[in-house]
Amino acid sequence: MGGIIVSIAFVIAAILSTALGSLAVALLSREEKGLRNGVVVGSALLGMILVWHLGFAIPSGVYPEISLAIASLSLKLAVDPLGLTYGLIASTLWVFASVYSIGYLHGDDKQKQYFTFFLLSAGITLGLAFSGNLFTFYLFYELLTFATYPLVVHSGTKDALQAGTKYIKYSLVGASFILAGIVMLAFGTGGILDFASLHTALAGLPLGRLVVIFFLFLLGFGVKAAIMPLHGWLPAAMVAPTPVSALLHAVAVVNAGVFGILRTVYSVFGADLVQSMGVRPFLLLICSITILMGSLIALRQDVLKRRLAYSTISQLAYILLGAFLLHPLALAGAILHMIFHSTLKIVLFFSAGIVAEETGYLKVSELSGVGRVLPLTMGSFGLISLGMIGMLPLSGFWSKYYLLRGSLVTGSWPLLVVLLVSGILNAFYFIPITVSAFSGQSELLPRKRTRLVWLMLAPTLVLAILGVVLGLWPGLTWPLVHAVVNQFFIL
Amino acid sequence: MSLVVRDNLPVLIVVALLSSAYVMPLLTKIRRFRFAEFFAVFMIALALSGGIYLGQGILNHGSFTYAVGGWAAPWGIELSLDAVSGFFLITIGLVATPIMLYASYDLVAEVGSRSRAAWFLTLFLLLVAALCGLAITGDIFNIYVMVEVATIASCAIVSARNDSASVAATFKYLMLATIGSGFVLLGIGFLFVLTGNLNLNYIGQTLRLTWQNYPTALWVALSFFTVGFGVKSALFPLHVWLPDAHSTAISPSSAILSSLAIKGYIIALLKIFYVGVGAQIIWELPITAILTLLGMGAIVAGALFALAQDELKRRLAFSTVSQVGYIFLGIGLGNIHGLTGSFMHILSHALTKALLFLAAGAMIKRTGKTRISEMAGIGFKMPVTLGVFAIGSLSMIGIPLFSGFVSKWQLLLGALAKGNYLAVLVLVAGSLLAAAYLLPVLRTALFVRPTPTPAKDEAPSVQLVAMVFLAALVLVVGVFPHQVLQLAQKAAATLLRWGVL
Repeated sequence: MGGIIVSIAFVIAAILSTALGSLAVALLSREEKGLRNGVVVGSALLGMILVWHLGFAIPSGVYPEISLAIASLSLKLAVDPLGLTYGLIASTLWVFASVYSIGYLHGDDKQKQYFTFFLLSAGITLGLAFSGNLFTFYLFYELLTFATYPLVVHSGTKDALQAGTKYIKYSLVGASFILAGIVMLAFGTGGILDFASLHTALAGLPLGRLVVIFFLFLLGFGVKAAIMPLHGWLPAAMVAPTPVSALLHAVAVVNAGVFGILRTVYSVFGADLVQSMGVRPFLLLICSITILMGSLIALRQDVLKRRLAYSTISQLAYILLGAFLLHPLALAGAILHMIFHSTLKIVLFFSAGIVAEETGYLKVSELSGVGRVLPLTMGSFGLISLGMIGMLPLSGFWSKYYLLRGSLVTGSWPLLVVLLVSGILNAFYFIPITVSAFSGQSELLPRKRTRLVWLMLAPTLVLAILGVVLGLWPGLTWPLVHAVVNQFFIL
Repeated sequence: MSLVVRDNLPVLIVVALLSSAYVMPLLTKIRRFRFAEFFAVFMIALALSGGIYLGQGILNHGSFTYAVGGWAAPWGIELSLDAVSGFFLITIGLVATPIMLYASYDLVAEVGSRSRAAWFLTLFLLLVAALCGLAITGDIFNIYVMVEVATIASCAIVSARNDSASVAATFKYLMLATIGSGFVLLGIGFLFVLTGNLNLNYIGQTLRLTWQNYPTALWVALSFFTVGFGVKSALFPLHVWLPDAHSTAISPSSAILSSLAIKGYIIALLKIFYVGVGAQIIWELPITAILTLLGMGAIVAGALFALAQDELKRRLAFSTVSQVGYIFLGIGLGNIHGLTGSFMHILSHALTKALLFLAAGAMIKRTGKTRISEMAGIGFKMPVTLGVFAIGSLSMIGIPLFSGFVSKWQLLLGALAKGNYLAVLVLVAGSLLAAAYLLPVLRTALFVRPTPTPAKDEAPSVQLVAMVFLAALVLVVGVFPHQVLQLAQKAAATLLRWGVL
């Protein structure tokens, strides 16, 4: 490993490769589909390779950074294990989603607009991952809203526009809270916003004001992390095309919120300070409520994508729960769950998208017998949903295991119940789908295929296999998780 | 640059603009109309380069004064070239040049006749000259003269097209502006009686020693200025003339009025308050608290009114009422961050609002549709115009990397430094409201696609160049604000007399 060159240039190149890819797509004519598809997959792939390169350098412990002064503030990009985790998840899944999108949007006349913003969002997501200070983080967080909006309203229908407006409203209000928090921090610390030096700069501030700032951040990031009751936009945004729901509403955007909260707790305030602010019980309570309510509401949803959306709300709260427990084991669980939930949930959305496109069925109650027509799709769905429930040979088990251990070690017994009950509820809303898909009678009429199904199926299957592999060898993720935990806790 | 020109540059900027203004009608008679338009653009660009040169000099070597005609203060008119003047001169040049360029396309058809178009050029140059004069003057009566020139030119420029709506709006504007002038003149009279001086610096020196003898009289004078300049710069609730005037005028007129004309009066107010009276005295009187309150009221009320408008240009006009509130809020906060924020917002709003009005004008001209609800799919027809409109909107909302964020940040810091959390709330809410009244335009224009998809039909390339230039400036100021921010900070420091006293 010693020979790996670590440089911030890789981060800049990764952001630029996707951003310039977006520009190229915007400049290409509407008709040049082949070239456009090549640019989309190529730049997503290049971005992923560059981020992975940095990922392999983690053991070296070298974390480069770069600053560019702007106003009285500075733009700073920096590599650290937590940012790498988010960057690796997003950049990797982006490649799969780009292949899937090409299949899904085949024949759509707004592909150019879609892929322009699809790649732009990728660049912004990577910028978010490698933000070195709060201002840069806020900048990319805000830009992400605007870059993803066109994807949400892609279909241009009234529903889509309404959902888009809701999304913008929630996000902008949230971002305003964050801005207010940042300006209060900057005012208190004399302009220091670097993640690396905020701990010491915060030491002198009165605790009351810190609590206010903490809650401003929590409210702001909580919107994208879909903490209840800030989650309203997420189920509505399910009118977006399936690859958008899969990538943004299960991975990039929602994880941006979760990532923001992880940054707030660990990079801005630090576990000790959050502990001493005495807000932990409240935080754990809202996470527990979100976990249980999310699962309960998911149980009652008949539209498959909405059920998945509520499941996402519930699962994101698992990650936050791990973060708020303020214990190394729980943090490990949170990081693992961020990785595993993303890879698993995207497969579920991908499968749902294939079913919807192949059969036209959107509701759970209509899925009876679909498994016989689409065995691979529903097979992946069934297998991966077991992982979401937390069955042993699949990856979801391991993250929940660490979350459980974390709650036990910190003496938070009630959380044990919350996690177990939610696991059971997961089983209730996932297993019947698979069972009826394979047992029921199919009355399907063959549909005219306008989409390139194999381009949708291939990424689904590869990711499903990846989900199983990660479950069998969870140690593959350990260097990353270990580095993140080491970053914030002195073990 | 020859020495004579360099030494007399401050006064030459104004003189050159004034004299070229009066030459315009003649020029259009003896040369082709294009030539006159080109000449107007050239003169404003020349003034811009003079402003940049002066601004550089002020930034590097500090401020200086210039005695007009060699008559020294306090008897002669003194021009005071400080960071405030440099900043506003640069703002005027940067914004007026592209607006004039934009106006030069098909001006005759826009206003109706060749002679009207010639008068439009005259008025435009007069207005720019008066604003430059306001930027550099250090004499309170000279301020009054420039204010009057600017007011008359603004009123006339509103009715450039001579349709009934704009003439009615002009009349309303003229009435209120004249009342405003009356208040300003009364204020000037008070200050003159109190101090025996017309030179701002001398007024300041006298007042520092004697103001405690007649605080009420000073307080009355300041109130007159607040009301007088408040009317002229459309400070809520004195804004009633602005929406009609700015929305019925032709688009380049709306752009220059909304972006620059009203700022000239704010600069005059700043000079009188901080140079003439002085920060220490201002803080003793309740005037800053009142300005803060009025500013906050304007931000919220203007934005709410804007939300209720369906006509695009009216919405933008009300947005100006809201944005002027930001500037007054900064003045009211009165600390270094607040004033820096006000200056940055003067620049940022000038760039942004000019951009938005010009883009709106191009859209309305191409499609004949004035209402936002009818604008579905315009983005497919005019992608570049809508692109720059999007840049303007994001800047107005205050997204980082756009110029609006730089001023918003300074104002937020100013509010915190003052411990005014209500102002923080209002500033944040103001950006959200800006998002609420600007983003629907983009949504309708870009994401509602009519069938069949309209063919591309962009604005004329001269106008596109003007708009893209402004959009580029919005981004440049947003991404690399160092130089201008430094100048703005220096301007704020000048007003607060840091390093002077």
